[in-house]
Amino acid sequence: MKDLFMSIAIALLALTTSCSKSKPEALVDPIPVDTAITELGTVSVLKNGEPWNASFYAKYYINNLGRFFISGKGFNNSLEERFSVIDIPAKCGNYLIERSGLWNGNNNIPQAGLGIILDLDQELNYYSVDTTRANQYLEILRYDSVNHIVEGRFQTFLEGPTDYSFLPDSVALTEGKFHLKIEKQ
Amino acid sequence: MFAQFFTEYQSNQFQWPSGGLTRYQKLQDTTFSKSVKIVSTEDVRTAQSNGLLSFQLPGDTSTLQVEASLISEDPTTAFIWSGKITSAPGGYVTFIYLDGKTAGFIHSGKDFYEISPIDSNHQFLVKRNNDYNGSGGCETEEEEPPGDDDCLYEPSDNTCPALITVLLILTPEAQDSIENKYGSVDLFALLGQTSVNMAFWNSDIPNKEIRVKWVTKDSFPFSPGLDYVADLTTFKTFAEPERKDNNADLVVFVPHVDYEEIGGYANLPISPDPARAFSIVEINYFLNEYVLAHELGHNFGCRHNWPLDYGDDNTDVCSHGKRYIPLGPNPQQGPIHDIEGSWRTMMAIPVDPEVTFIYTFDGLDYSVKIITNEVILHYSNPAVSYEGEPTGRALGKVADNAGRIRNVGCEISEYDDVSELAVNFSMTDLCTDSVIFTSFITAPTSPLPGVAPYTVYWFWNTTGIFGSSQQFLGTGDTLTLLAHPECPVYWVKCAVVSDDNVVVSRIKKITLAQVPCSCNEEERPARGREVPKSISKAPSFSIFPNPVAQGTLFVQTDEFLSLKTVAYKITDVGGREISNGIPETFSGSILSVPVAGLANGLYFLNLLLPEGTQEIHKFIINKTY
Repeated sequence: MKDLFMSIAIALLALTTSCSKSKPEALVDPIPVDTAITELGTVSVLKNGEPWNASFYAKYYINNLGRFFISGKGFNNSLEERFSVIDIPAKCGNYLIERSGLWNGNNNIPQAGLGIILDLDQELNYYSVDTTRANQYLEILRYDSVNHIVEGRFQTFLEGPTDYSFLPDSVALTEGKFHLKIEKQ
Repeated sequence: MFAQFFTEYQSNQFQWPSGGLTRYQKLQDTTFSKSVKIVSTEDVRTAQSNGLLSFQLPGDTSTLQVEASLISEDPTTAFIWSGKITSAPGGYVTFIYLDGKTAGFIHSGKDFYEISPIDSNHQFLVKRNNDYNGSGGCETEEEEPPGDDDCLYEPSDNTCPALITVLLILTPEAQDSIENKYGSVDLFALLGQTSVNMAFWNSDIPNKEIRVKWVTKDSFPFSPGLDYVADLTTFKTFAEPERKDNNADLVVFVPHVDYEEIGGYANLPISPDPARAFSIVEINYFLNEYVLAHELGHNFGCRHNWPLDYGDDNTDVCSHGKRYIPLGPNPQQGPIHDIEGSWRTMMAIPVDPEVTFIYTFDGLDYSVKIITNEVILHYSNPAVSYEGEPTGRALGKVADNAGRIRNVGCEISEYDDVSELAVNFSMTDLCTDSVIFTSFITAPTSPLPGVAPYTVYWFWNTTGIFGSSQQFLGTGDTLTLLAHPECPVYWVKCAVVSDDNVVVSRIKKITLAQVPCSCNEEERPARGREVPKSISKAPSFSIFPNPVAQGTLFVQTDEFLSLKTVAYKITDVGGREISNGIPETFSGSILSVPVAGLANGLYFLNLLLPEGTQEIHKFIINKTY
């Protein structure tokens, strides 16, 4: 029986790109090895300490299976909250998250941001990566290049001072876990 | 004769200029076109008569009557003529002439036509496909977004002059697309500019104006999923050098891509903020859905409509748009009401005519479908009506986008602290004995051209088409008129010439009451703007020639015997007496008044009648020698 389990484990590893176990820079939790980090098709994350109910998807860049992005959308009352992490390499690793700039969108270092939208086309605020905060990362734990499934976790701290009193000046997205099929464009 | 305003050609009867046939085929192929016709359009400057224009569209026997409301000579040397369609079903018309080419749009009821130049004599007349395309998110949400402050509504009388510079930044592909569809980016930009300025005019937002510039810039780093939220943030950094170079207050990204769900997207600041002065507007919605005017409205802080008006935004601020939902007399609560004749102001959102929703009116709920869904070129304003219905709401769910724009326009015009030479002018209450026109000159920031000292020239006419027909009124920073030169409508032009010979001008329509001139209220209440002045009664005399080019003004009457006792007095526009005397008999019932010593300008002949009454006639000295 033990051999059987070993055979299955080896077969699974053969299907899944091998992920290094190198110690990520900012991780505090042990990496789950044999169990899914979260259910396939889901993302769980805390937004300012509270579970964020949002729908997520992942897509490859056009004609490029080497990079992908993750986008999530939730509603707070009737405000739409739209979060994205772009420029994610499609391979295992632990990556720092940096602030979006004009010309760093193709450097294989993920960038994150979150917009608050009222009724389709009215942007109330946009939150960008707070460069004064450490421990901002996106880690890909498993990447299946055959079935295009990715698992990992992330954490980022966003800033966006605002005059709207009902909006916070910063957004912390912590304990993020994703397990998604990456769609081709 | 008016049927000749548009002359239609068949494609095989036409000598195509280079690239013209390709443009024609592309316009026909796009789903945004319902039809594409080849026409030759008469020049509105000669086709109009006293600001009025009538014409028929090709293939349509109904005649559209248009009354000019906004005419301007753009600093780019473009001539712009905009008017409202006064015949059913209503709408708006704009013609622009630039570099020998003609462009424009005709918004007649639910139909929208775009006119783009083929060559100097021919144009495409494109009927746009404005069918509702089912964008999501338009249904009323039960939840309310949080508010920031209460709507403490006070009508705004802020009339400070503001020239707001709007910069369009195009991708190279967008420039190609616009040139294919509209023939010229300059004309495209001017049409957008006119749509906004026309909306300001229609909405009683006086002294506010936008000026649109454009540049093309390549290498915009689009987000991988065409995420307009991320792209707008990137655009702020991307646009920074061009914004500075072009002294722009508001900046609009015009990309070639088609973002899902939207035709535009904009910063919505809670108060004026130069860091939140950006928007995205897609080419296909820029003009015919007035999305440029809509998104710029967001940059001013204007919001969509209340749930009451079938919108999503229940935030308690005053600057909402409005949808008019005519429920009809004695509505029943049970059946679904198909609402015809509904319209929405610029900031209100379109709706799906297939969706039934609950409309609460006078405390009762009704099931309705919005069958007609027309946007009117108005920002909401409780003091301005459209077809007899206020376009805004001053009580309850307050809707006053115009008040917001009035209040923040000047601050937004100062986002960029570099000014170009600009002129505006105001006038005192038109119902007082004398009307004072005052020019406001914005001196340019050094080292831009247009330096002081300035000479201000004033002109008037009845057509708004200045040039050869303009009548000189005088010079000076202010101009005082003792009476209006024409009633009920005339146009005044204020032209400023700088020391280094830069010329800028401003044309305004002066609308008095309906004939006869009196101080009656206009149908559309206007805060502090053109209200009528009484100046005339049935004249006993006539004068000729007018303008006077030689040294004598003649007075004619049938009452020959009374003439012998008539005296006269001539005053200038400032009320100063220039001369007086007894007119000499020229022949029969005609008297002569010597005016050889008068300089060019507007004067008033005051005839003193035997019974002690007076009669005033205006006349103009226009010496050409």
